[in-house]
Amino acid sequence: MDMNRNHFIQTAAIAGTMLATLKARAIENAELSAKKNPDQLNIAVIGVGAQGRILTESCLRIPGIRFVAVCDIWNYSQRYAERYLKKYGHEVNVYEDYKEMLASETENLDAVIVASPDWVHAEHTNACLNAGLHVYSEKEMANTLEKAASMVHTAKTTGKLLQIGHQRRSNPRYIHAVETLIHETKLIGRVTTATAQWNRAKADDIGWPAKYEMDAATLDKYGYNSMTEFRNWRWYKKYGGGPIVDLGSHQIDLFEWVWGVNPSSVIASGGTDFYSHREWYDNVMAIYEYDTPDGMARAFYETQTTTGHRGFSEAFRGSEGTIEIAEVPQQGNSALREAHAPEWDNYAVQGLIKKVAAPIKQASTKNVAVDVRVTAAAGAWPLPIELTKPAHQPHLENFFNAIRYGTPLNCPGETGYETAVAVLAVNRAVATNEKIIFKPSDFHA
Amino acid sequence: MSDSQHSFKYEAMTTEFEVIIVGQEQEYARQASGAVFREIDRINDLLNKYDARSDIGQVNLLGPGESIRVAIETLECLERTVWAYRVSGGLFDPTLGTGFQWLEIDRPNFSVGWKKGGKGEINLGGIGKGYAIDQTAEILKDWDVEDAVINGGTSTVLALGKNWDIGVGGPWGEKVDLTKVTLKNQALSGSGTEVKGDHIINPKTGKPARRHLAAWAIHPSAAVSDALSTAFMMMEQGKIEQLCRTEPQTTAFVVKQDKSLVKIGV
Repeated sequence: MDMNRNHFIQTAAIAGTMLATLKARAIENAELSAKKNPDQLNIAVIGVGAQGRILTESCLRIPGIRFVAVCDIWNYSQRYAERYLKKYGHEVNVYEDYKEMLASETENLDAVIVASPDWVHAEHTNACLNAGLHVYSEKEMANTLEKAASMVHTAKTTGKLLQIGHQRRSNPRYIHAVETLIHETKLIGRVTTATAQWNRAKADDIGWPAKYEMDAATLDKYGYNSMTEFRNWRWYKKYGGGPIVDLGSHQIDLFEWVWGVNPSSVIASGGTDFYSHREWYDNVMAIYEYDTPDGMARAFYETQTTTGHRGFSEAFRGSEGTIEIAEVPQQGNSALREAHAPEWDNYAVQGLIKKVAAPIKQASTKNVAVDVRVTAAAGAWPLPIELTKPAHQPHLENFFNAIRYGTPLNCPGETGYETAVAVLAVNRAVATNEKIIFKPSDFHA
Repeated sequence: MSDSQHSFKYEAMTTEFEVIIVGQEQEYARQASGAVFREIDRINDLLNKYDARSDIGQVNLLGPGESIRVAIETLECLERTVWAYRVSGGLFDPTLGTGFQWLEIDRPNFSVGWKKGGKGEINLGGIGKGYAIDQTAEILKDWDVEDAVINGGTSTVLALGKNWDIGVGGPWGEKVDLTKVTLKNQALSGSGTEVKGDHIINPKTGKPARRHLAAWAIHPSAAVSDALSTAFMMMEQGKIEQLCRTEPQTTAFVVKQDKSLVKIGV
């Protein structure tokens, strides 16, 4: 996306003009446009657990999206989603088995949102693509590269759209920071290092209401060893990739976006040091190397699940300054100038950054994560763009606009695969205690 | 099953929530409380005015004549807010006099916005906590947790299932000998001047509410009791009596300026 288009998106009136242009283009691009009725896209969701519900709630805010079916192996989630959608007047058919859903609903559908556990993303996505439906699949694409690659191949052979859920790629705040400030304006000079972290306070296993416990036969039919593993699948190797994948993937994805190249190597350390009954590493620290056209750059990433210190944010550190950003702006939303760098006042006049913040006003609240006004530290230049929608909505809109008007996807399968290669390697680096060297060809599915 | 009582705490909405559960095993009670706290976070993400991504954050950024789609929960909470605004004669005003009359709720389209004539700035701090607590009662039903108390930072408490003796607390409660209230599937909310100082602003005067020294409201809905306890601080006794008659499930306790306790709807 170029800067002009970002600015277009920020202005509702001009965005209307853009939409008209896109509609005109859609006529030329009939193949991609919705097969039933371009004004109404019919969708289904596979997997309406925690993440599926977030995506469902965002879809309900987007005009012209109609839910026709939901699928989940757990009757508690089925019931929740069915009742929730009914409140909005969406009468949906409910399925336990996605194969039955596709057999009955494919003719009514334009697209499917896949928000099941990582290990079945590929199975669900490939089946939907092969049925002729466009797919928005949550990250991580899969817990193995073979499965992730199969998704890219299926999208290619079927010609259907595959968007991967790295939603920061469609967030206007991130687009402004990465594309406008770092790439075009070169506000922070040559980006030599990056750090990012997602740290969470310790948390116990998630449970389930007793009357909604799945019986052993159903769990077994869908490949889950127990109700505990089903509810806490992110911690088990069969189903997920652990915190480095669940949390780190979103942020490690940004390194490639900022530097424009995939990493050349990664070293990492971690372990199951706190939650002895869980399989995946509860703490990981990784260092990537990026052989950029401007020279070598390095990125440090950590994810902790026993301390919430520093929460989640990313910092891109360059020769002229640093950009600190986070999906929740209260945790990061500013540019910091190196003392020797040329003055930035002119950028503020142009609206690229806001004028340097006054000394911080202490907010008298206990919960910094949810309820502090955006008060940047002294010497920080706040970023000027706000996301005034739930975090996943712009990425879903990008997907639906691609179906309707043929606009490019912000995170197609190929891009999601590159991130999967970089992120899944961390677990391998921890397990082998060896430096992983990437070849450029490793990033092609 | 165990008869012992389990309590779990969680920080959200700038306060500390507490869930008390009896009649369940410790681990099951903890997991049910976890589901309650996740629901509170979800509602907070919709109603938090300090987050531009939230529904209320977005509504506050809209100009006159503009509207956006919001979550059904936001709609419901705003509908209860409109009700409280009406029955309190505008004294419960989440815009503090900046323009609640311009709010427009379009239920068929699930949208909220401002009429062409103007706009206000919404802060659901006086009702959002109670609304979130109401939502969590549904979650506890799923978990078959019947006897429970959900406590929103001690200012709003919802007691479910059995009879629960709830301490009214606070210096005014003690002074007027109102120390305990028995609740059953009811919520109690309190507003006083001594706990946090003058923290309720009268939207009509822009000054701290001082008609009464303290006020409590009891109602089956935590959202309603949350809003009414704020309104009662500013409402004349006659108006409170009228409200308790037309809304018969409402009880009011008011400590008047002469330090006498008035009980209405008991």
